[in-house]
Amino acid sequence: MASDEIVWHIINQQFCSFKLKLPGNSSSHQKSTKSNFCRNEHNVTGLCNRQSCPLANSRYATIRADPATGRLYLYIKTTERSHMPNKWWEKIRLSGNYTKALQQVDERLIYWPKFLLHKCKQRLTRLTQVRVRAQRLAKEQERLGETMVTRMAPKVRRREETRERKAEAAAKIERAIERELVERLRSGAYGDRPLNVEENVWKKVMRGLEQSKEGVLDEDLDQGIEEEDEEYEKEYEREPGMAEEDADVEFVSDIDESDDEAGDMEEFDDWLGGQSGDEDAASDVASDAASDEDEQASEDGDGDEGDDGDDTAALKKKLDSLKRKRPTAPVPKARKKPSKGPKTNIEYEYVPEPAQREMLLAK
Amino acid sequence: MASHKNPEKIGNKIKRREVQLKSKKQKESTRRDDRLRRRRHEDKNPELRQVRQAKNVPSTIDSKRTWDEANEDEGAEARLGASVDVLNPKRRKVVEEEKQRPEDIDPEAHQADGLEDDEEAVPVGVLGMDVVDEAKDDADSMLDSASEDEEGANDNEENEKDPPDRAESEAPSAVPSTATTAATDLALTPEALIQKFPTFFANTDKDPKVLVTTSINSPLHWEAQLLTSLFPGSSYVKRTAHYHSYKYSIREISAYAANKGFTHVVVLNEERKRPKGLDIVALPAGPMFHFSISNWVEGAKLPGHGNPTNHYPELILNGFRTSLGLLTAHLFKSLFPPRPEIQGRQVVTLHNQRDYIFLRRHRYVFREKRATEKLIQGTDGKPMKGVEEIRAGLQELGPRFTLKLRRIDQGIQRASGQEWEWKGGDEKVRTRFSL
Repeated sequence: MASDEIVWHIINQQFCSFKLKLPGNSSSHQKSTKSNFCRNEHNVTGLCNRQSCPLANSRYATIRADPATGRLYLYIKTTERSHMPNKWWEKIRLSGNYTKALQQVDERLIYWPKFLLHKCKQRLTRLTQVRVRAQRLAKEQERLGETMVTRMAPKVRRREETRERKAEAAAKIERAIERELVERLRSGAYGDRPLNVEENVWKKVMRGLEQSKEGVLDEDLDQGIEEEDEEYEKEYEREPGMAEEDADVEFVSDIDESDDEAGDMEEFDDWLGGQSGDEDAASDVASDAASDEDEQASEDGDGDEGDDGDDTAALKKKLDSLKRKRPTAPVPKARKKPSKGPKTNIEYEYVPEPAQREMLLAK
Repeated sequence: MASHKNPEKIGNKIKRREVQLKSKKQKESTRRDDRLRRRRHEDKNPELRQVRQAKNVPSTIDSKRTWDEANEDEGAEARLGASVDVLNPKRRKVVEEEKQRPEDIDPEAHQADGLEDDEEAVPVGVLGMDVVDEAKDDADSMLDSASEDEEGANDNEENEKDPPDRAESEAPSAVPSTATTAATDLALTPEALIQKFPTFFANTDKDPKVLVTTSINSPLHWEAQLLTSLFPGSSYVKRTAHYHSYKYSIREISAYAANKGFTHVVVLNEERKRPKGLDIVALPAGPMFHFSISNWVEGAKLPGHGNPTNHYPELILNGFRTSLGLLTAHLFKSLFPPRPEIQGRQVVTLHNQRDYIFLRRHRYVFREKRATEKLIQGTDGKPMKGVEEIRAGLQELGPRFTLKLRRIDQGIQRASGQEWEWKGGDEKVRTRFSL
């Protein structure tokens, strides 16, 4: 007891490592003007006072909460144990029920100075409120799920930014997209008559496929298609940007017309008579030739198209007669087809490839 | 200091600098001369260039990718580590089964199926031939489409010489290609993975219905609207009515959405007014995927952008190799309608490169190749056959961003347990990737 005075003298006048002096609050908006605080964990009020200092009072009581479990404990220090510092504090667990806890504090601190009892009860109240609020928040957090997402460490963030940049450079996304789309087109994933391709482009693809895949298989049988392609190239100038299957206007060179017109007429009777009638009305004869070739080409895979043709024959007559039928599948079969010779039924067999290439370049 | 002084070093700094510049210029000029001389030489004789390039293939991180060792047990495929699936030995087993599944052969489902990496076409001997022949029969099949014939044929020849050298390991063959990006064949998901997530992989052909929302008190309404344009059949609902309103949790929202017939809930997280993350819940009570977003650029800010229409887009999924990757790829696939409207000519690409998933949206057109353009190259670097006169033009639409998978929860949200979680330690090895 006598030493308390001495301790307080030193703490107050000279030095206390727990003391925290903050600038006083001079404005009238804030309530408290306190500026001396005590950082000792056993301090019951938190202020640096003669009555509140746990070091300068050999008889002391405080309330503290266990951080892990949230339970509240009453800590009591008595003069009798002041010579055994490691046994100073007697830790009494308080009931979870607030009123019962108050009663427990009352009965433990009976006959103690009113100051300590009062402050302990105040602290008990405050800590209970804090606990309730924390539980409420935790429950809300738990219900809502993750509202707290930790920030990424700056080193990790920088590393990821760099890696992403390099990955993007390595990815060559547009090339991959293009490759995949063309692969789908080439493999026939879009079906026989793709809606997303212009006709001439589609024909080029098919021609390319024939050359690469089936060129080996039937060179003899394939002339017709080669010739057909040859014809197409001349009629190729289509308006760009037309994704529709049917062109209203076509630009065709003169060469084919004069050569093939009469020759084709003879072919009409050989092939599907009903459909040839549609093409007769065409003013653009070369396109007739083309579509006629289409007819011929589609004989094998004709099932669908024949039916379609029958169904829409009437419609086609009404509609633009320049409508071209698209080739369905590249069908290898022999066809009697004159090319640029005199108008006879003679079957010409020749290797068209060099000629084709020239035509490509000549354009 | 005197002991390790460089005897060659000139003391005068100005002179030293001049000398160094001069020698550098000299070196560069000799290198340049060599290079140009070689180019002129090879222009006359292109085969030399091909030989040289074939010999000097630069090694990339993707070619040096390391894999975790996976046991041959079935559990390896379902484990979401970094083991490789859809690889040579496994595919041989799996491929036969996949072929017979008729529901996979769907000519209209132009989704993610394309050729897996070149590694897959390894089958040796008779088995391989069966694989390739069956592919030829299914002309309409999207499975291993005709593409396999072309690319597979290449690899077949190469790989048939290789097997004696290479052990039956999980490592992919580095011979055919250094690039690894190729479309993921989702039909090859291992059985174990499908069994692990039965409802997730359940095949429904109905259109997905996506509910887009944001985090609590988030200002990203416009960005969320952009997401609704990205996912067809989606709608955006504001998360918070006002500051003091009741905040619905994701679990509650998912329950309501599942009742209303939604298939997915997409939550857009924000940080400092920018999109930071994307959480996708596969309803009902399905696995929840958490991604982080970086480099979100909206369509209007892209140069030369276009405006999207509401056609169902096609989907391209590139580069998903592991079971984790296949899971993610399947998620993305399920977010979009199964039958795209190809007349819309729009394509959404999710390209996975080194665990970063780049989402892009394009409008494409097939056009003739101009004389100045190069040919389209396949994954092996050689021009693709059969399409020498074609190029595909792309116009970018809509938002583009990068996703990185961070976490997969078994149920909804963290409390339900994690299937997989991103850890910084995974990235210590530069060549190890999880997707």
